[in-house]
Amino acid sequence: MSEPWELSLSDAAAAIASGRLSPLELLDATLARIERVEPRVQAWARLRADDARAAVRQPADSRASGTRPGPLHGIPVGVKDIFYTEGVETSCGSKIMAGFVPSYDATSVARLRRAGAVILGKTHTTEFASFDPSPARNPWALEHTPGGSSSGSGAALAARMCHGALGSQTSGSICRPAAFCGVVGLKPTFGRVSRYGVHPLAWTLDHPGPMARTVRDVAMLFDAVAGPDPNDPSTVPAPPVSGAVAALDDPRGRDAGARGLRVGVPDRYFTDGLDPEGAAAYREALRALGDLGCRVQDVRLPELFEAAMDAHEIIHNVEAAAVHADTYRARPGDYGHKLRAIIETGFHVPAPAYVRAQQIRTLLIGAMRALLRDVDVLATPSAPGPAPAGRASTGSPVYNRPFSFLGFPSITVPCGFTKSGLPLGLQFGGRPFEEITLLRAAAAYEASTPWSSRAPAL
Amino acid sequence: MGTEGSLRPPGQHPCVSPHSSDLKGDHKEHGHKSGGVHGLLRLPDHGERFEEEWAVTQRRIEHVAATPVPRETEPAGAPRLVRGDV
Repeated sequence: MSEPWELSLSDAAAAIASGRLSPLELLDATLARIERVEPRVQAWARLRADDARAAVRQPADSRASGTRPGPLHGIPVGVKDIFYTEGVETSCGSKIMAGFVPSYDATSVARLRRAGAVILGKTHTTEFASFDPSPARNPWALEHTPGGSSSGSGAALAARMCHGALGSQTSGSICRPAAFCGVVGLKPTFGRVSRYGVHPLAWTLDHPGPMARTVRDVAMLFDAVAGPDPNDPSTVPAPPVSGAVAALDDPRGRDAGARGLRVGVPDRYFTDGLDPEGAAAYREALRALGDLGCRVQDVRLPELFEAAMDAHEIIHNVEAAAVHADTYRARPGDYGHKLRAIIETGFHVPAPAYVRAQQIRTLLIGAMRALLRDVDVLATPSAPGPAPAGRASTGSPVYNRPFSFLGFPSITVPCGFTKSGLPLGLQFGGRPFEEITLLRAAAAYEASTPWSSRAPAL
Repeated sequence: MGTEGSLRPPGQHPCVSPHSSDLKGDHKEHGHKSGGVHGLLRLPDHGERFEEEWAVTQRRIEHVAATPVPRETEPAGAPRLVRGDV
């Protein structure tokens, strides 16, 4: 058998369920792995090894009392440090929040615990999930950014320091770090995963979601955290979650793979500024989808697409300014330069411009719903290239941003490596609440390529 | 929307504007309004102007303002998406 820390989440869960591996063995192996590689990767804001050991002992007590362990029983996970964790400091990568200890868990954290997951600790985030970088490094090239804002989650997964993680995306903060770190990230539909207990960056754009090493792993986490939550009104009208793992494991679906899936290739925007290696990997990925039986076809994006991306930025800056107004007034010097610029410009956007931006959002949602009658998913590169060198920037979210603006789901899956060994990602976007279609497409693609099995040499 | 010339970089009160030519003719009225954002919200004047970022934001505002939007279009706000109407 592989070292326990090498196992995918799915394989580790299966090994635990069958009794071949104990949660304590997995935890010990994972903690030993962290001890070896964390000094170089710096993915964790804080580790809670003692709490994790206590949590590992708890399910055994539950089993003795006849309670069935959850599907994530004994699985070590990392939680981005903007998710509230009861009794554990949640500093949001910020001086402002240093020392803040929430008295409750974010809904998605509570649901992970209920499913049996073991919270290993808090992963680094950029400051308030914005653009001022965190200390985390890219495990594939330590002098490159892991992306942001879910920097630590992406880095910890790639470095095999946890088996699953929570991230959040306001522009590109799940899919970008996942792509840069060579792992899988799912940004669910807005309203699918509760925002309760997640520090806001921009209320109408924030999406919590799972990250992991494989598509099936992400589906397992998604099943655990998705669903209505009375504490987040946006989740209440969402349709019931219908079992992502079951859908992937269904023999009929599995055998069919992505056959017959209509894959749209946008006519523009998603290749603007794409670097040559990224372009070659994207072309190859589209060819592979064709080989899998997908019907790959060109689609024309709505005319107002580019204006809508400007609308996204206006909404982002105005809402971030509103979120931070009170603390910014008191402690402006404790904010990083990039977030200060967002807040300051946000304060000065005229209110009618914000409302118009939200009207454009309505129009684009309608136009993209219409476009997604002709195709089942869109396939795009996940980023304009691999993780940039240096750690002052977290790279560009431009290819991920449209799905955050729309609230439609998106997923990234590894689709190759540059000559210098940096991962590249393929992104699928789809219809609201049809995450399973995205997972199906990504799983079929993943199974036909070797990329997800590669690990960085650390 | 007539934003041209009436928007100023964050924190830039007209009295300290390095671009005084921008202010000709509407110094008093617009200076009072836009310079007042910091005062209205009781924000600190820390001296930073973010001129580069503001120039980008201003272009975005102008782009959004120039995009035709039917008057009856309801602003999206937080999307409340329902399945089945695609």
